Amino acid sequence: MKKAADTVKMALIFVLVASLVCLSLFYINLFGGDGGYTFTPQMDEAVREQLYKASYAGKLGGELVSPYFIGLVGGSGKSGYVSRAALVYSLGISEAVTELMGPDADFSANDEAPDFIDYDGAYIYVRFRTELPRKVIYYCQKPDSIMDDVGDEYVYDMFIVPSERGTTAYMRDLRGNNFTSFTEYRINENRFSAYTESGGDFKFEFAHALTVDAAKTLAGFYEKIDKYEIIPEKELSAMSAVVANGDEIAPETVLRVFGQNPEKVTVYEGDDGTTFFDEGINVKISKDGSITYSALSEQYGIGISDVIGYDFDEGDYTVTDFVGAALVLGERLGVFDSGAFGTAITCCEEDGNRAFVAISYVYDGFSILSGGRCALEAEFGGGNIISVKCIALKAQEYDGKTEIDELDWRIRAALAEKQAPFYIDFIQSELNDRLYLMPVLRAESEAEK
Amino acid sequence: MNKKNITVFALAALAILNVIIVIMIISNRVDSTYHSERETAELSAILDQGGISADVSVLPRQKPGYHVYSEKVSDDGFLSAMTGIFGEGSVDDGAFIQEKDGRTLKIGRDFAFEMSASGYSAPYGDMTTVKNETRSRLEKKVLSFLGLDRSVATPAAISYKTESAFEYGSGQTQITVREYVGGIMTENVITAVFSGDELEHANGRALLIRPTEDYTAKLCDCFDIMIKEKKYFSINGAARMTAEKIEYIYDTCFDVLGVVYLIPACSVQYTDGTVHIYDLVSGNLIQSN
Repeated sequence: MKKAADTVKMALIFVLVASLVCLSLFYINLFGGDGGYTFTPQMDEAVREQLYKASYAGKLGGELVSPYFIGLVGGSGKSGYVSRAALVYSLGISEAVTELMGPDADFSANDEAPDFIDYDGAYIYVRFRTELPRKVIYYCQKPDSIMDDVGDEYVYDMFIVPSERGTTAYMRDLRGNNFTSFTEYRINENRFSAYTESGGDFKFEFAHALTVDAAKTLAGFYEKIDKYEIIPEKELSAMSAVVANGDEIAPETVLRVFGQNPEKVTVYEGDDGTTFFDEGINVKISKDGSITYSALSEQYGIGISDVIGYDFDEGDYTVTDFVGAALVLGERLGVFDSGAFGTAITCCEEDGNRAFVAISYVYDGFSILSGGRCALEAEFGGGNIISVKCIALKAQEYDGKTEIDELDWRIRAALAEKQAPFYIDFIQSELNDRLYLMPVLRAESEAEK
Repeated sequence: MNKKNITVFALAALAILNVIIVIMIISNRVDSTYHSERETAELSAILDQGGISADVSVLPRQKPGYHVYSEKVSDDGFLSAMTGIFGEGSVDDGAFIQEKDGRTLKIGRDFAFEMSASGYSAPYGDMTTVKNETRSRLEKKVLSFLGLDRSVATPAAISYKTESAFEYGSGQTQITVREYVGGIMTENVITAVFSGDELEHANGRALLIRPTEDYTAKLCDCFDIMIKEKKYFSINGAARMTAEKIEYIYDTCFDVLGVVYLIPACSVQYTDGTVHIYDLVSGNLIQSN
C-alpha cells in the first residue's frame, strides 16, 4: 500500500515538474524576448513606400517609367527599334527585343546562367520618356525591366555597347553628364522576383561595376546616336491646345487646393487682368490662365502632409514625397486632364530639406512648352510647399494639317552615318489664344542658326 | 525531515510554482490584451488637456492583434484563381473580364470588381429595411457568387457581415456586406442589388484570393496613436477636436507587384468629419481626410 502511495507521489511530482517546465516555456514564448516578430517596421516602411509610389505612378501611367525607345544595331547586320512604350511595358525588355530582332537575333541565352540573356555583339540604345530619379521609378518595373535599381543616378538614356572586354552599358542624365558604365551587362529575368522576396538591396546584374569618363570610350557608338536626334513612334499630328484654367477650374477650387477658404479671402483685380487673392500675396490667377501660389516663408507654406495625406517629420521627406505632392497638386489643378497630351516629370532636384519638382506636358515623348514653362512647378522647403506655378492645357489634334512621315530605325542608321543630320522638332505658335504645335524635320545646320 | 515530509514539501512547492506561473500568464495575457480602466481614464484626461475630447467609452480598451498577412499573386495565379471561381474569361490590361449569361464581370488586380446584368438599372424609390432572414439569404447568395462562401484554411480568419439591407420602391433589394479579418474590420465592402433572388449588380472589393503568409509584428496601440494625435493637433494648431470613434482596422494594400498586404491600422474619427488612419506597425499617419 505504501509502495503504491509512493509511486503516486512520484508520478505527481513528475507531472508537476513537467507542467512547470511547459508553463515556463509557454510564458517565455509569449512574453519573453523580442517576440520573434517577422514583420518589422522596416518591412512595413518598404511596403508603404511601394504603395505611395504606385499611387503616384498611377497618375502618370506605368509607361512613363518604362523604356520608351529601344533601338538595336546587331553585330550580324540585324537592326530595328521599338518605341511603343506600352509594348515595352507589357512585354518587358527581353521580349520586346526578341520581337524586334526576330528569332535569329544576335543574342542568346547564357548556358551557364539560363536566367540571363546576353546581348553580345549588338549596339543597344534605350531611352526613357523622361529623366527620373531612381528612387521614384525603380519599384514598378516588370521583372526583367532595365531600370531596376541601377543606382542613385538620374537616368534618361542608356547605351549598351559591345567591346573587347565584354558588353558595356553607359547611362546618362538629361544634361548628358554623370555617365556610369558597367561591364558584362546582362539582363536577368528573375532578379526582380529575387529582390522582392529577399527584401534586400537589389543590384542590377552588372558585374564589375566601374565609373569612367564614358565620353572617351563611346567612340563608335556615340556618334551614331546623336542627342538631338528624335525618332517618333509613327505619324505625328499637329496639335492645338487651349489653357484650361479659368474655364474649367473655378477660382474657388484653386483656392481650396492651396488651403484657403474662398468665402474669406479678399479679391483684387490687377491692371493686367490678374486676379489676386488674400492681399495679392498667396494666390493669383493670371489673365493667361496660369496659377501662382507663393508662401511668405517656409513656415507659412502648405504642409506636404496636408497634400499627400501622410505625415513625416520635417527632415524625413524624400524625393518620393516631393514628387508625390507635386502629382497630387497637379491632379487637383487639372494638369493631367489634358486630352492628347501626356505628362512627364522633367525636373526633380533635391538638396537636403529643399526640393524642386517640375512636370511638363509631352506629346509622344516630345516636351511641350519648352520655353521655360512647365505644366506645374513646385518648390518645397521646411516640410511645406512654398511655391507653385501651374498652367493646365487642353489639347486636341488639329484636323487637316500636316503629318510627318514615319522614320524607322533604318533611316536612323543612315542618319547616324552623318549623311543627313536631321532631327525633328515642334514649332510652337500662339494664335487666337490657342497654342499650335507643328512637327517638322530640321537640318542640323538650321538648328545651329 | 523524513522522506515523506520531503515528498509532501516538493509536491506543495511544485503545485504553488505552477499556480504562480499560471497566474502570471493570465495576468500578462490580460495586460497585453486590454488596457485597464485606470489607464483609459488617464489617457482621456491627458488628451483633454491637449485639446482632444475623447470619452473613455470611445477609447478601445482591447489592444490590437499582432498579425500581418500577405499573399503574392502572379498574373497567371490571378487568372487561374478567377477562372476557378467564375469560369473562363479574358484578361485586359491585367483585369479579368467575363461576359456570360447576359452579364458583364470585371475584376481588377486589386480585387475591385463590378458585375452588371444586361438591362440593369439602379434601385430607386422609398427604402424599407428587410427582414433578417432575407438579409442572411441574400448575403449567402452574393458571397457564393464571389466564391467567398467556400471554406478555405488560411491563417487569416476572414468573415463577412451585412451592414445594411434595404428594399426599394423599384422592388430591388440592396445589401452592403463588409469583410472582416480575424474579427477586425477592413475597408473592403461589397454592394449587391437583387431583383427577387436574382443578383443584378454587384461592385466593391473583397479578398478573392486569401492571404496565406502570416507575419507577426510588434504593434502600436490606440494609446500610442492618440498621443501622436495630440502632438499632431498641437503642431497644426487646430481647434478643439472631439473624437467620435476610434477603432482598429485592417488596411488592405495592393501593390503593382501583385502582392496584397493586410496591415493593422487604427482609424480615428472626429465629430467634424476629420478621419486619421495610422499604420500600427510604423505608427505613421497614412491617411488624412
